Amino acid sequence: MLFIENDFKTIQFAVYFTDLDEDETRVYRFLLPRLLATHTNQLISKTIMNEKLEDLYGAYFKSRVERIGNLSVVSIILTIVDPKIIGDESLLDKALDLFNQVLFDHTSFNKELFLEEQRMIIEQWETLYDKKRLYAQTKFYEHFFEGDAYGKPLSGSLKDIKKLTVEKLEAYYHDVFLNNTKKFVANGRITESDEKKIESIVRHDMHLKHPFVTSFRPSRSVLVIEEETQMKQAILKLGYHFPIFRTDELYHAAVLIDIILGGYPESRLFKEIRENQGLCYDVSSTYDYYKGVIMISSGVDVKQKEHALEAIKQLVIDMIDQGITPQELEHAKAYYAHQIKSSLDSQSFLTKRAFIRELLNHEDTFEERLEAIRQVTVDDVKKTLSKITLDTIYVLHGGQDDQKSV
Amino acid sequence: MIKKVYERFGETVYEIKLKNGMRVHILPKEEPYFTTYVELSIPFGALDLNYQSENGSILTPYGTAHFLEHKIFAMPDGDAFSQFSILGVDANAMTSYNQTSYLYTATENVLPALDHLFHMIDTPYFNDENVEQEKHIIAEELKMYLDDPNVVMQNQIMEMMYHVHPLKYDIGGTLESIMDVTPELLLDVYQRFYLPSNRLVTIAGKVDLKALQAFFKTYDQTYPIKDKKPRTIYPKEPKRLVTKYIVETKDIGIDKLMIGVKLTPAKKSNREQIKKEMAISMLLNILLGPSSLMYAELLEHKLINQSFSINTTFEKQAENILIFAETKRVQKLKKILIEILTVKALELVTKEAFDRYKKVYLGQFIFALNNLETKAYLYGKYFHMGSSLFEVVDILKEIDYHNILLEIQGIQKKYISVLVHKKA
Repeated sequence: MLFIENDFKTIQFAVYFTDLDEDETRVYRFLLPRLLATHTNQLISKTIMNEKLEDLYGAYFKSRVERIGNLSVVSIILTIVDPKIIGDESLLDKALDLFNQVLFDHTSFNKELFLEEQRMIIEQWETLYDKKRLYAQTKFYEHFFEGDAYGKPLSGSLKDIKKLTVEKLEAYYHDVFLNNTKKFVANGRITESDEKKIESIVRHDMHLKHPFVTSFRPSRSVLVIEEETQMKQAILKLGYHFPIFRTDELYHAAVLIDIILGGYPESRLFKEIRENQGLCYDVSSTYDYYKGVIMISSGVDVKQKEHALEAIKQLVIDMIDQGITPQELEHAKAYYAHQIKSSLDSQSFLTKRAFIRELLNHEDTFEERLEAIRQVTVDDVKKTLSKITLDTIYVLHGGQDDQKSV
Repeated sequence: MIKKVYERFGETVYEIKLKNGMRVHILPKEEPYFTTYVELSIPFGALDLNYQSENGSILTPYGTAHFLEHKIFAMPDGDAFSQFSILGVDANAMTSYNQTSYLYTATENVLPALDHLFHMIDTPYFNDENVEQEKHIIAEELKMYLDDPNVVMQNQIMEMMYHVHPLKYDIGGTLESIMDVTPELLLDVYQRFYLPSNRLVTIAGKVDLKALQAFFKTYDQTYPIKDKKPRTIYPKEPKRLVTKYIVETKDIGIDKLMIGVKLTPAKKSNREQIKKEMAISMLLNILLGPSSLMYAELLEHKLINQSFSINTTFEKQAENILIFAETKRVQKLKKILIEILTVKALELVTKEAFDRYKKVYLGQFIFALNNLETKAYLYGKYFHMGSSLFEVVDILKEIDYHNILLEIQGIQKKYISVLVHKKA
């Protein structure tokens, strides 16, 4: 069990179920956390579960599934108010009992609730096309990560969801899910006796059952996909191969490149594409250090989409060719250091950080991280920039009729 | 400097009032803590379109406050964002219906960034070139929202409910209205509404009280002007709806339903107004929240999915409730929801559910205090409403079961607009 003691006004109990990210089990891992938090053997309906949470001063569960390298991580987090603030000493015990029930107290699942969750995921798929930004993101991922687990939806395919039965899900829960590597985090004002109580109901696994791996296919000749739909804007997505991973020596230089390229209002993309050329409202880059890629996204005027795309491509080429200035590097370092320090004031961030540090076996202190960032040079950045290769372009845009209506 | 202690929640507020009228409220957080959050807010928002001047009434285009917020970052020597970035702080701004906020978070250089924030606010720099350029950027922002079907429906139902109230248009204005913004207009609005006497500065997190006191003392000497802001004029909005029912066919995956309930605002004290907002929010949660019987029934009958949402808006002379759902049985859902709101509400609101929700609201208040940005934002919001964030818990205590039952009377079928987007 990982305990984080501090004086936040809330307490978080988190569990991270970790296993390999595989095609066959993706749909189970997506639906399971949603279903676990709807009912238990004792709290037999969603209504009763919600009444229970309300009675605990609006305590709430947050559950999600995410990919971290080759792993699939299902997190379930219960947040309650600090019992000392509201003067209710029974709150912690009640919350721990609920947390325990949600994770482990399911002999079987209520079939009606299973069908309800299944229907809602199917309807999410049916409305994907309506949400243009999400649709563009999904399609871009399909093309950029073609043949890779990242290109497949976290929910499994629509066919997988439709084929799923409550019996199969129950079997997966009992036979596989409960045997996943489980890591627990408790974060907040917790006494020593509380710690003992918590440790008596959960078993924290020290070691991963599967090694953590980060990899991506080699770069290829640029794939360009254009799709027309009914919308006012054009959404541009550019995927760059950038094989620098979280544990690499050049990792901090790669993060700084992302900041300088499109990570903050002083970035090149923001200043040039938005402020100087007025081509868009939003433009940004994202570096995925588990996959070794950097992605650019922007919503631009339909009539200017070719010009905007060329301007973004040229901006990246210029950055790779010419490198960055010492001033840009200093500004990005200051911003990066600020992000690291301010994140330490966020309870949710600290909870997740405790898990990630143990998962990836990171032992560096934040002072050591800040020092490593200070050490990055313009030459390091130049060397790191040379690893960037354009790989995939995806454009979703409105047609002629949409332009007339603007 | 006045010190106020809220022992129960472990919070202390230091208040400074400058001679120029500006208010500074400081909410320190004990170390170990790294972040300082600074928010300068001005009670000038999207609804402040029409105001009285020495030359009579002035009417500005929809989206003026939002446009001004964008252009405040323009400086003679470039974009103000650059200097914030050089200082390693994260700056942003936002406009709501009734206020504009400029904010930053810092872990170093808090005072140089504060100095830069005031330099930016006190240096209006609007010209033809930078205003024209901004029109393109804001147009793309508005188009981005117009590609979201929920936003499109929300904009449309506001126009169905409101005849003249500025709430009928998006905070950013329209693609047409922003074209009427000029440098002269921005400067006029700036000079009338951005006076120091109209500003609240909220500083939360890691603070150096002495240094902040010294900073504001110097600032007060540099900008001693104290003036009154103009009064916003709101058009007289009729009680009735503009349009009751619209069905449109769209290229979408599942039918979408939006129900808008136009409420009638009454003249109330600030405290009573906050109480009313809380009571209506509680009422809606009891009727249709996740633990309600009706919510369970709607799910059971496959009438709603996770997109189901309820929002309330309480602004000057305009109040409403919006309910949104994606559904495959739109007519049935519409009928049931209207019946719940206008016929069944009295029997569905139980005392037991009310007591539970009082606990939820107390919990939500504590959750809000846990987040620096939320705490400071809410602090500013309640200040501009003439109240205080820490009074909210006392107001909550005053709400009884009968207040909730009374609010049901304000929901009437004749003031409900319905918008349906049907799958083609």
